[in-house]
Amino acid sequence: MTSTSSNHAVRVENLSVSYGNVVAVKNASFSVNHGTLTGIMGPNGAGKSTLIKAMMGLVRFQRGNIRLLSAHPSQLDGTCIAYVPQQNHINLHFPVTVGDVVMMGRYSYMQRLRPPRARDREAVKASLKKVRMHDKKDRQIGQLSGGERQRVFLARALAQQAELFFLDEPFSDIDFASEKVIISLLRELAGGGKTIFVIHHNLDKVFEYFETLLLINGEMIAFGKTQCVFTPENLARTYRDSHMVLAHDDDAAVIPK
Amino acid sequence: MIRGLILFTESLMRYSYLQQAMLAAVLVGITCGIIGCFILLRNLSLMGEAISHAVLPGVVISYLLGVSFFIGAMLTGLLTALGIGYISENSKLDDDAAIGILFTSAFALGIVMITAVGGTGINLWNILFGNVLAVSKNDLGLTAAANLVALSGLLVIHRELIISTFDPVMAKTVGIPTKRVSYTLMILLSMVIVASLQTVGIILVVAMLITPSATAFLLTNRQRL
Repeated sequence: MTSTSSNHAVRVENLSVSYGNVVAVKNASFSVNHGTLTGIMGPNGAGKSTLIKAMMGLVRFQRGNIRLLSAHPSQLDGTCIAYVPQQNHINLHFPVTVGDVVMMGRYSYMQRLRPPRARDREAVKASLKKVRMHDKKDRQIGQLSGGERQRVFLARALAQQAELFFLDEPFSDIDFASEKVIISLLRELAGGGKTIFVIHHNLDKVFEYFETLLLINGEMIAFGKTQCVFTPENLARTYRDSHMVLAHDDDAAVIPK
Repeated sequence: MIRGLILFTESLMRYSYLQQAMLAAVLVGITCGIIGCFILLRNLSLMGEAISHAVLPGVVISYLLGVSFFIGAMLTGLLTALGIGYISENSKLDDDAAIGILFTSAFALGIVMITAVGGTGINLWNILFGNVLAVSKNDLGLTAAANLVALSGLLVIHRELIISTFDPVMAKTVGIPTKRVSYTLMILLSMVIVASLQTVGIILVVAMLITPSATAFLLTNRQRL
């Protein structure tokens, strides 16, 4: 872990991102310590993916400042950031095996024109064992269930041995067993000082899964401890366009309009 | 059938032009098949078609300037590839529409140039379908060199190509310059196509690019990382 004057793993100040005339993210400011598991929630098109892409240094932002591990995103080398893509962005017919997908995570450790070395193969094996997918390492990626595939992509992130993890809706459309494997691994990673951001869609289990929560709907609505942020008022502001929020005392239900 | 084969083998040993033709065809077949795998995975099959048609004006310009057709053909092929990328990125049009517009225009421009210049000695038939028996020693050398460069290029960026084709966002996070990788692939593709011009011609080169790789795609589950 890098030792810094400020102890924040991620620090975002006044971030605004727009594509042409469309503002995707407006005035996001927050900072997160090492070892934090943060959920990012908001309706469709709220700028969740744009926010993490800006944090990973993949989209240009017009205003604001981002510091990852006290550096500008573009100054980090390829080993710092691990990314788990949204399931429906993957070409299931791509001729690649489970083992090779995880080996992609070792890209920054491999040398050009050289085959993977023993420590790369070890890392792949260990990562696959952690997500309990080692017995299927020779399967083609399309021959897995949604949950199994999600675990493989998490294994790829593990093999990267990164400091920062960004997961785009890892829990959508997967089986219960896979969900349990993934969340317990994420907790283990956070316990080991890794900083994790998870885009989350489902409103239940928020308390159970995330200690820190960020609500966004174009503009950042709230950020902080889940019990402070996950309130009926904040949810109503976040989901006002697409959902109805029914609040009663401390309980709230969010229903699509 | 067997007699034909024996006759062919005998002629192959006797005539050097036949040996050169055979070598050129094998070289083109190998390289097209290999680069075709990446073209197929990136859904760029039509791009091969576009680049191959767009080399026609380049051939005429090279003739007029008295330089090797290789240079002109590479240039117009690449310009078309860039133009397609530019149109699909900066307008509402998708890749396929951009390809449809640009390759027909480039090809038409080539035909107009041939007709306007007149008596260029450029044989349109040979450019369209190739003339493998007319491959000279010099041509064979040029083809071999271009194919060698293309294959080594592919070997060097092979891992980056696979990762950025499979998961472009993750590729960027691990520091792969995905745009540069794409442009390099376009340059190598243009090179392979131009080198195949004399052997198979601009119509058939797409078959050499896509058919073997499509077959491979159906047969295998794994392209090595």
